[in-house]
Amino acid sequence: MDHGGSQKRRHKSVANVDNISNLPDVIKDKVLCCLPIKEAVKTCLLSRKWRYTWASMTELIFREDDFSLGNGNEDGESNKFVHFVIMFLSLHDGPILKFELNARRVHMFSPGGHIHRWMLMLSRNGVQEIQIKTKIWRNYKIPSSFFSCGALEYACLQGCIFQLPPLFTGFKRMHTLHFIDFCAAENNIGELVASCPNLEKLVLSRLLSFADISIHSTKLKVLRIDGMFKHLNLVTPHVSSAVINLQVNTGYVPRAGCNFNLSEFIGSLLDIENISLLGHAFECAAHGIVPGKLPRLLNRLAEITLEIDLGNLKEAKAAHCLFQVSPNLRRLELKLMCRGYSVPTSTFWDSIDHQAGLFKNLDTIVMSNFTGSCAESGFVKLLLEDAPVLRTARIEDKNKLDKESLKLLLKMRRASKDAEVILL
Amino acid sequence: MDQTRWARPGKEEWAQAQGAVQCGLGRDKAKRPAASLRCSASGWRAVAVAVAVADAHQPLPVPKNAHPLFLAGRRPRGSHPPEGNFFLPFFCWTTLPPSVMSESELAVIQPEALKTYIWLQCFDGSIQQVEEEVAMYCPMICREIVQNGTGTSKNHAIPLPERVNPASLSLILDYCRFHQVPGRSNKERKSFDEKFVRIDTERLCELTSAADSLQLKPLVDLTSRALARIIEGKTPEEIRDIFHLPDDLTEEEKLEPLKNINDDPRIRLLNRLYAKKRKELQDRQKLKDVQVQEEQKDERSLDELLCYINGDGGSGGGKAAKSKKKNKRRKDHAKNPPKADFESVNKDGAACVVQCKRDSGDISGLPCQSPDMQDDVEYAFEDADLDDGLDPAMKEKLDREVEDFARRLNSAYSERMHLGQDRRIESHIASNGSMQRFPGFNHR
Repeated sequence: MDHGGSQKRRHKSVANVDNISNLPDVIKDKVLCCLPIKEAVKTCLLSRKWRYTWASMTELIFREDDFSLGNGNEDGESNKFVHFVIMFLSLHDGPILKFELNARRVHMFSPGGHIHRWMLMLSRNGVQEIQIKTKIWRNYKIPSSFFSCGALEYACLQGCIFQLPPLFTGFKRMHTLHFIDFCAAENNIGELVASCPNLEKLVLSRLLSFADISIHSTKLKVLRIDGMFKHLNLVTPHVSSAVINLQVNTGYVPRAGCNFNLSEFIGSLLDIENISLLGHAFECAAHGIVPGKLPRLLNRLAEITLEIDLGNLKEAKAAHCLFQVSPNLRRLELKLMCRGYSVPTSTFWDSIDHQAGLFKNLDTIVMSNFTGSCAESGFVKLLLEDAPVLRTARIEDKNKLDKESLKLLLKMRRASKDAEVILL
Repeated sequence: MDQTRWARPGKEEWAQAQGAVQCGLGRDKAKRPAASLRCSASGWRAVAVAVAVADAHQPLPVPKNAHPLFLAGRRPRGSHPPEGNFFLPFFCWTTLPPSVMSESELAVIQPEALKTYIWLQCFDGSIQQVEEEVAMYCPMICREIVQNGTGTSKNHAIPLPERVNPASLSLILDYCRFHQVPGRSNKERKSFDEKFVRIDTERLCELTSAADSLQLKPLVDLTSRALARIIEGKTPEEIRDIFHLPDDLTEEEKLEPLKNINDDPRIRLLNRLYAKKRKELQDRQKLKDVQVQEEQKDERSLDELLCYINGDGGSGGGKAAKSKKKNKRRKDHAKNPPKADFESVNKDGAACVVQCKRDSGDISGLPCQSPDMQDDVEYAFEDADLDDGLDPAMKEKLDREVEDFARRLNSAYSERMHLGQDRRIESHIASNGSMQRFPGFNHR
């Protein structure tokens, strides 16, 4: 009986071939890349075949979450993380296609120094994707080796500043650029965009610039910009989705000098599908949009989000102009606000011709921060009377409408019999 | 348009459809005369579905009241290899308005009317017939069909790569069958995938490998992720167990990676901890050794005695080595009356080396003193006859120390050569002492 048992066991051990070690290297690499990096390194303890498999991983993702950092204030923990990255890279062998460093809570003593070394290593290994997010108090200068990563397709950098090297030949394959907490000197960002012929997505979050920024690109499809500027000049005709959020309310940039070529920007658009103009985008527009100046209809434009003071004549006119050229508008979202220092033009919206078919395809309207002022009521009236296929009108009022405004709202005629007005 | 008429296609319609099929079949007609006129004969609600094969030169004659069901393609059959990479379009219609037919009827018609098969051959020689549209989901097979025109008949089956065994092929085809159907929601696909990879790890590995060789990237991603999920959060032992990995690394090697990271004070501490663990391990090993040793004690003692006498017995070094042991030996001597025993030589020698170690470890320790040397001459002879009668625990401890010393000596010998003159003599002596002894230890 004992004999039989041992035979069976032997038979089983023959059947249990080490399948996973015999998988092609590409697959093993894929499996390792799916693991948290620490666990991937731990596979060196498995067996001889796995001893150095981890060292040739192609996608390196260092996440602070995998390192059970307390609150990041402990220097030791942070050191451990940084040390791990250093050790890993020093032992790594082979190409690195993706490098991701997510360490917003990690305190680095000299982020620039580390990143400089790492970037140099990456630039030598044909890196295609770089994402570096760190806790950085002062912006660091992007190491020049970054610009020699010729195969780069995706870059996401945080807290940096850069200067294009004189002999920069451009990123031929770059399709997405993402800068966070970014400080731009001169028009470096514009030049960078110009030297990426295949750039399709540009995201500039919390940008701070004292210089003129001028972005010209015919390839760009997605554009998101928020931050503070002195001059912003955009010409991106093939953008399909654009979010422009301009801030002026801090002391860095004098309000008067803030400038944005809104009219020209909208005029250049051909394929726009949704557009958001937030913050002070309207206010910063140099001349607003002169009625009749927009050259063509934006036939694809289906969604508009605006942060607007409907009582401000300049803004009201610009918005009206935008509505006029977007015949297929389906969703409109207005974040109402009162900038308070300009002349209210309560009668502007009442004076618009109600038969012009301004909102003939509008399906949904969302208005937040509704106060029930004359201008706002006038706009809602125009909208309800002029939108034949409207289904939903969500109106959010923070400080409870008074009875009079409510009455007025209820009394309004609706062109669409399906229109549902939801008051929140 | 009365219901009865729709319920059963009239003669006219059949003829029309048949005619359409026949003229559509063109040159293939001779070889494949079975006009693909089908009837999903479900009682009186029979549906006429005509399948016509269009010819590049002949427009499809379609009855006026035909409701197109779908247009699909098929590779020309019969000629092999086919001329060029073109697909003959199928046109299926019904003279019933599709709204009259139930979903299930449509479902019945579609695959039946259009199913085209191809043949696949696994590496083990087994041949499988598979719906073409399903197999085409694998890029590797698709390329074979389109570029090389293989797979049209059993004799021209597409040879599959070695890594695709019949079991994983059938899994892969299940996967393709589900995913090639357009219009499934992401949620549906996700839940299918989730269930799909719930198979035992061995098959999962095979499946991954097979999917890779068929270049079915989505499945490769899916299975790799599943493998990673299995590995994640497990100890090396558990992983080794699951995947039947050989445990072919030595303990030393397993600890090595940790040794590399020693800049951080914490890590240094950790390393110290591991060093301790390592020592424990060695000790355990030694314990085992000691047990073995006890069985062959006598032989070894003899060997060593011979070695001791022949190799080093007459040299001054040997005597000097003994000198360090002097005090202790005297004590032992006093305690235990001498007894002629080989064993005692062994033990005493060991103790002697230990003493050497202690001396050399302490840099400020006294070098050999000549008066002791003098004394030693007497004791050196006494040694052979001496039995210090150490108790077994003590012996064990000494053995351990000796071995430890041997290790230290090997690594530190060259270093010590650079020490002062006295030191050098001493270490030379010590190494001599150890040399005569350690061959015995090593072959245990």
